[in-house]
Amino acid sequence: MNLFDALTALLLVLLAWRCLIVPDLFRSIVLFVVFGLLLALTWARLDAPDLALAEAAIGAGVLGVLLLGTWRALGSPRRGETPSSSLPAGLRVLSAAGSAVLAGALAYGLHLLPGTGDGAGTLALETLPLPATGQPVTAVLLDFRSYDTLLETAVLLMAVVGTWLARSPLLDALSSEDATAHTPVMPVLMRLFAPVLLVTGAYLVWAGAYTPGGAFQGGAVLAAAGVLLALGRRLGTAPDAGWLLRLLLVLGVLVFIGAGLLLMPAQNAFMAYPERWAGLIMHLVEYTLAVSIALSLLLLFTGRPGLRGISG
Amino acid sequence: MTEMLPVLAVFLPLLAGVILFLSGPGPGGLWALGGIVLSAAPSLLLVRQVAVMGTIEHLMGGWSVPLGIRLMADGLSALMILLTAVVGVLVSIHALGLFDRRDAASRQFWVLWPLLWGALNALFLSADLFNAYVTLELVTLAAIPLVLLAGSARAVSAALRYLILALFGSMLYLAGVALIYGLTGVLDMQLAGERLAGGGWVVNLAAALMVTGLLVKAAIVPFHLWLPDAHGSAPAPVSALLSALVVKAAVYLLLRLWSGPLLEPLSQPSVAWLLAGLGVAAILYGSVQALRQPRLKLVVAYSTVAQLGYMLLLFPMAGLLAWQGVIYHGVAHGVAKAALFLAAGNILYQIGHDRIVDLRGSGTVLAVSFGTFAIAGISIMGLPPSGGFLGKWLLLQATLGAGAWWLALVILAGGLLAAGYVFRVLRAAFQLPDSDAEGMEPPVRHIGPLMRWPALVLALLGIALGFAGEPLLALLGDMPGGAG
Amino acid sequence: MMGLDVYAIAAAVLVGLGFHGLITQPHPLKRLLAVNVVGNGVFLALIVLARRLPDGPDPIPHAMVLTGIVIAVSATAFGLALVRRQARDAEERDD
Repeated sequence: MNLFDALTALLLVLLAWRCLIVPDLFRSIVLFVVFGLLLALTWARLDAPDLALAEAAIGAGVLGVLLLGTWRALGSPRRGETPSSSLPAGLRVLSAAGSAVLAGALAYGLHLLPGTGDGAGTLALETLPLPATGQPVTAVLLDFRSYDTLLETAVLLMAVVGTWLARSPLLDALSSEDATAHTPVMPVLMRLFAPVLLVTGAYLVWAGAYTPGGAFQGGAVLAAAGVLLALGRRLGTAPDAGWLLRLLLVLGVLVFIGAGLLLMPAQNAFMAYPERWAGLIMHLVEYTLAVSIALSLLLLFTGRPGLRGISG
Repeated sequence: MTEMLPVLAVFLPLLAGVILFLSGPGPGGLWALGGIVLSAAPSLLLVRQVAVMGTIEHLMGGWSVPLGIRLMADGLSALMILLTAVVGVLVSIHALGLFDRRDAASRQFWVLWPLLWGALNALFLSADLFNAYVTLELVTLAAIPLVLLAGSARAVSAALRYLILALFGSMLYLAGVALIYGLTGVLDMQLAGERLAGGGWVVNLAAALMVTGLLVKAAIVPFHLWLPDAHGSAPAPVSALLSALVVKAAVYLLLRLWSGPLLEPLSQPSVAWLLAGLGVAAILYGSVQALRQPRLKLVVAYSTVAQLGYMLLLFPMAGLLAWQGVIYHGVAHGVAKAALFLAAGNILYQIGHDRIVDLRGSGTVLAVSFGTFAIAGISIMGLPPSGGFLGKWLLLQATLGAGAWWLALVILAGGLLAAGYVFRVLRAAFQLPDSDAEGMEPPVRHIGPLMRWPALVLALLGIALGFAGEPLLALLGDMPGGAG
Repeated sequence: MMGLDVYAIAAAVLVGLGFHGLITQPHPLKRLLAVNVVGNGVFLALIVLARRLPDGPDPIPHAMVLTGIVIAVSATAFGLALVRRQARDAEERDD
């Protein structure tokens, strides 16, 4: 415990507080993105580099773009000051008191927890040399608790379908009104950064087995390349997804389920892989998942089922 | 084969959803039908095997607990999976008539619904605290887009409110899971339960967070505000699935935690009575609101708020009778409520509105739909012979056995109020038009047999449940973990 | 005893702040931000918990947080689509 940690923790709380309290929506969003970035730094500091990457790429990055885009798309009367609370003052005080009790109880509860943990975590670190992946978090995600990971990719698919059903495509709303694509900087940015992002994303996916990174972090960076291309008008939306796009969107889930189900009769357990093939299968799962995740995140941004390339 | 069934019950519906997603636009009632069969078959086989062999377990990835995730199908899981399959198949048939796969939006029903089915089965089979969080999110995020199929501005607002509250509820639940992991170092429900024995302040806090989160998700008063809007504005098959199955998912997890890792904190008399008090409030408030609603679907939606309240009466009773009564009530309500929503949807579809004051005289024209409504109403009111009666009867015996006669009075009052809101609708419908002014207008649209009969079959099943107590309660078995 | 950890305190305060924001803020976008603040508080608590093992950070809470982030972002992205749609519906009503 030192001054640096105390200041970081204090700053996190202050940023969150300002983010929720400022009336101006734009500033609120910017504060939230800064909060996310500081959170990523905090997690790197707390020995969680994988999560720092994920928070920076997905939490602050992808979500930041979506938040700012949504702010632009809201239309002038709704994007300015948000109405302050309509709750009567008494209820607001009550809510503040309740929140303080909640925070106090949680802090006290965390304080009371035993200082060492003995259980699944220790076991995971001990078992680690066994599975095909060397990185502890990757081993948990793709092996010990791969079932959670599989279900979570289904959540992503549901969010994409839900976004289509909301019928409020973000990219179309942005390109109909704004001029980002016409600023001279945009094409340069795009030419410069899109390839860099593609390479970085691919590296993160590949390296995930051995160093921090993985399908989610890499996929998010790949999606960022796509977002850049879309903002630079190299990618546009289409009303319907072609079969290839649909296939790529669910490829990760299909490979994951397929490998699990096909090998189940021989292995007597779902998602248990024979030792010789385990490494190969997990890599295949990781690469295909990254593709599906990247596309899903990109479609959450564009907001319509189809994509089309625009030459120019 | 047997130990594969829990996996298949989760992944064949998910696979069906993915395949229907891939199959793209175009006609394809047959594709949808195939998806239904693929989803229902492993569920029914699993239920049969549980009935024959008792609890079935599967260790995911072959990793034993606490490292891996355990799936467990016991009597309670099997009963919920059976409810999902039966309601699911019949609602699907109704939906085959309503949602045309050629329409871009309707097509997504056939993607989201199998995914929701798989997610529900995954939740009912989960024996892991964190995995239960993931499956709960899966259920929520499959369910909310379905509300949007109505396409109305009202549905969009309802979906957004539902999403924000559901997300908050699951974060509270996750905070509780974090504390439990901090205490025990494990996520498996049974292991965590063993290590939590003895309780303590942190266990109480974790229980409070998890239970509050689940109450928000289950729309228990005072967290009910999103439910009537969402369930009232969604298309009929979606409302049926939400009311019969999705809100039950959160209540199921609550019962699972009570009968497992959180038994001690939730059995303290003050907590048990607080939860039962919320249940009483839900029963009375929901029923009174249902009596006052101007629209048919809102009556049915508020009735769900009320009927969920009965499930919280379990906590202070805590005997086998109460356990059986509460779960039987949940199953019977699921079947009857699905029938009510499909019938209400058919009425809305045929006459173009569901304003109760303007239903006058429509009962004779739409005899099947209102007949379905009346039959399903018998189970909701808890009149014999019906599943609703059996559930409430067991619960009444439990309350009287525990000397809580005033809870018995609440149960009876809830039944009377339910009779009030069901008869209010029927009276409006079967009232003869004023003098000879104008007869009842002919229906705006006609419904086909696919939409007409599943509702009636569900309503009749609600009655049949009154006679099926023995095999179903045998399937349910004793309380898990020897609770109570 | 985990002892007095500033990050654990910050995690708890974030949960409280988010809860207060959820109750008092009427704008749906801000309510979404508030729920995310709650979530980030919970994630921070999990990461603090993961540091208790002697042989390096506990990978299980880390995996839980990664799963949680993906779920929260997916749900929030969908929520934002609903916010945009709601605003458009309101505009059409005003016209």
